[in-house]
Amino acid sequence: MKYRFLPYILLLPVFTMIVVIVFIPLITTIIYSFQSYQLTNPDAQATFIGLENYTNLLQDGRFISSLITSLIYILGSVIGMLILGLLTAQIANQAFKGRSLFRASILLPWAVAPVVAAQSWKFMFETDFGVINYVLEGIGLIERNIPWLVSSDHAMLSVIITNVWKTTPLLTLIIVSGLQTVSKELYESSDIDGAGPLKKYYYITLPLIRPFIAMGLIFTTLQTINVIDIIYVMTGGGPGESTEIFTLYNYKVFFQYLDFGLGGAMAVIGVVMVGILIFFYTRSMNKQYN
Amino acid sequence: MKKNLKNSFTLIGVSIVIILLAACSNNSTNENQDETENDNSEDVQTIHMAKLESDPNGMMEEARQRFNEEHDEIQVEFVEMSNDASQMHDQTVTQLSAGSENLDIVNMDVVWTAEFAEAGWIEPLDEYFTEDMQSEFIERQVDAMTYDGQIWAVPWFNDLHPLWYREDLLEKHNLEIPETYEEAVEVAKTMQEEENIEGFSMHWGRAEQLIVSFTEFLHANNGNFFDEEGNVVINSPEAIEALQFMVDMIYEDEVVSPSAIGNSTPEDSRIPFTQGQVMFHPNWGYVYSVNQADDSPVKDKTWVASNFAFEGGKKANAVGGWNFAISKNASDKDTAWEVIKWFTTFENQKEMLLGGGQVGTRVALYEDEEVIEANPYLEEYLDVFEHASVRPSHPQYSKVSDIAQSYIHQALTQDLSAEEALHQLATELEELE
Repeated sequence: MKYRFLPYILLLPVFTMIVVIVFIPLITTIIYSFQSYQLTNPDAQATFIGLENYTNLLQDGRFISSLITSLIYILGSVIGMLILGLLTAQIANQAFKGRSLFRASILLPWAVAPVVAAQSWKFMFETDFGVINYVLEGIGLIERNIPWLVSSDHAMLSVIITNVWKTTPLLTLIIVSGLQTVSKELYESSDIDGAGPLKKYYYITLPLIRPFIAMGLIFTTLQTINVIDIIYVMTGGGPGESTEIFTLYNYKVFFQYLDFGLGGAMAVIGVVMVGILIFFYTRSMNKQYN
Repeated sequence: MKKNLKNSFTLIGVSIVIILLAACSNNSTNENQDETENDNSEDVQTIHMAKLESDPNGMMEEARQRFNEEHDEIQVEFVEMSNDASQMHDQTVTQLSAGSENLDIVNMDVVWTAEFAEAGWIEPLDEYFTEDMQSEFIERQVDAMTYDGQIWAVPWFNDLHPLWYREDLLEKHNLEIPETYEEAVEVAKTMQEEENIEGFSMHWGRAEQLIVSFTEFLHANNGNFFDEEGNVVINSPEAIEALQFMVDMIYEDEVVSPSAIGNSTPEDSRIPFTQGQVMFHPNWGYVYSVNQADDSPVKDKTWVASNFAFEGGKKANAVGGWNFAISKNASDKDTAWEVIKWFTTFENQKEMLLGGGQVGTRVALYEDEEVIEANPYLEEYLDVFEHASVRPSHPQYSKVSDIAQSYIHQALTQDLSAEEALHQLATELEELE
């Protein structure tokens, strides 16, 4: 009885923090999205205009194409991260000499500041004096330098590679901890049944670490779509608009055009889209338990 | 088993949230400069003045201290701003639109005038900055601060975007510096063959610098973004020709490397020039001091001239620089003006130029013997001023620039033809306002 209110009191600080840094900005943004609100225009200071921002957005070809670009960016990154993440996690989970060194070193890319990582990769992808073209040419894979960041055909691949390199460690970290929860007895009994390593991986490991993968993917996907540093530094959304994901366009509308109304509407659509994505992830995560 | 799993799962979740929070919080310790000034007494006016983070040789700080010593009733304090122009824009706009009283004197980039004036963030200065005074400053810089028939800021730091070139190579081949782009491309081709160096180094990445360079090509061929009445003329035949010429420089004449389309900062394109791998290089004024550094491979080998013109067109050098304006919310406008007046005097500008290499805005500087002796290239600047070209003035400049960057860039990567790109750009610009 005495402790009836204790939980609430203990939760209060966190709750206040979440309200201040999440809910208030979120609600303000939603309100902005129904207003004509441009800092640079004294005539458009927070006047209600209903759904006009949203209808404008749906007719804005650049916005639609930025959504498609985001989708390609996310899909490419997730596939790359998943393959690389599962692989490195599996290695990191084996017992071998120097394992702790290996574990520490796979975390390095994640520890590097995104801007620094992006700038370094930008140098490496340079057409004329970048090390990637130099190596590819050296081993005879290409004859002419590939214009990685300066052609619409290759720019997306370049930023995906950079993002995969940068973000995979987070996924690996989560999968490793998942792998450690898998009981050894399961493998032992499957040995008796005569299962090979691939079968064991597919029927035992994968189902058991599935919630961890889904969880890791939520984090890495959010990072991929929300952290614009890599694209901002490497291509600035270019060439043309070929790598302009919608968060980058959103940033431009909000902070460069100073159009809070339109920017707000974009942010709201973005939150809904990301929400849908997370819904699918969590559903696949919960399958395990049902 | 299941419970165990769930527990460790929660644990991981929590620890990740903590890690993420720790990663996101960055300890911002960059507090403003020490407030050593003693402004306890009531009749001391404190003026808050925006200052760029970079301060060559600490000359700005020195000037501030001199000012504070000379004035008992006015004390200047600096508000530090980012060196990155677009970040500085965001910082300034945040302060101004919030009606902050902690920013009396605004430091403006040349392209912000229309936007700031239209939004009502700054005071017109016609009463203070009289036409008599204006005539002592470089005309184009004053023009860039004029909007809607009023003057909005005093030019303070003068930057120009002329052509830097390898004088030694021209002499070696007995060539004069060309007048037109057509001739320059031929010279570049010769140099590429004979000297094995790159013809031009350009900053044509998807950033503001692309607009700087494109505007020069545009003006050099008598094109423009808007005509006198403000109509969109960016799809005129002259403009298309200018853009087509830029595209051809990459793919037809091959005097510009395709990697130029990735150079989003002036530095990206300056490095190969200073390393001695490039013949022609249009860039801002800072190139001179970098090239003249002791360890520079091109020391005493480069010189400056006005950018080229097209046949039948005119030479065009983009204007940049910083300008002092007074915020609408300034506590005391007369005092703020006193500060601006003091900082932009001939004496102070000369001091800043000799001590820190910051090029001032008064015409008299470029005729001063002491100044020219220390910075011989400035003599050429008098000619370069004659062909100054100002980027378009528009209340929504950031948006205009961003849209233009996108279409011009698509033409440079050959995703669109020059004609398609500029027609589509024109359509979008017409929809603004």
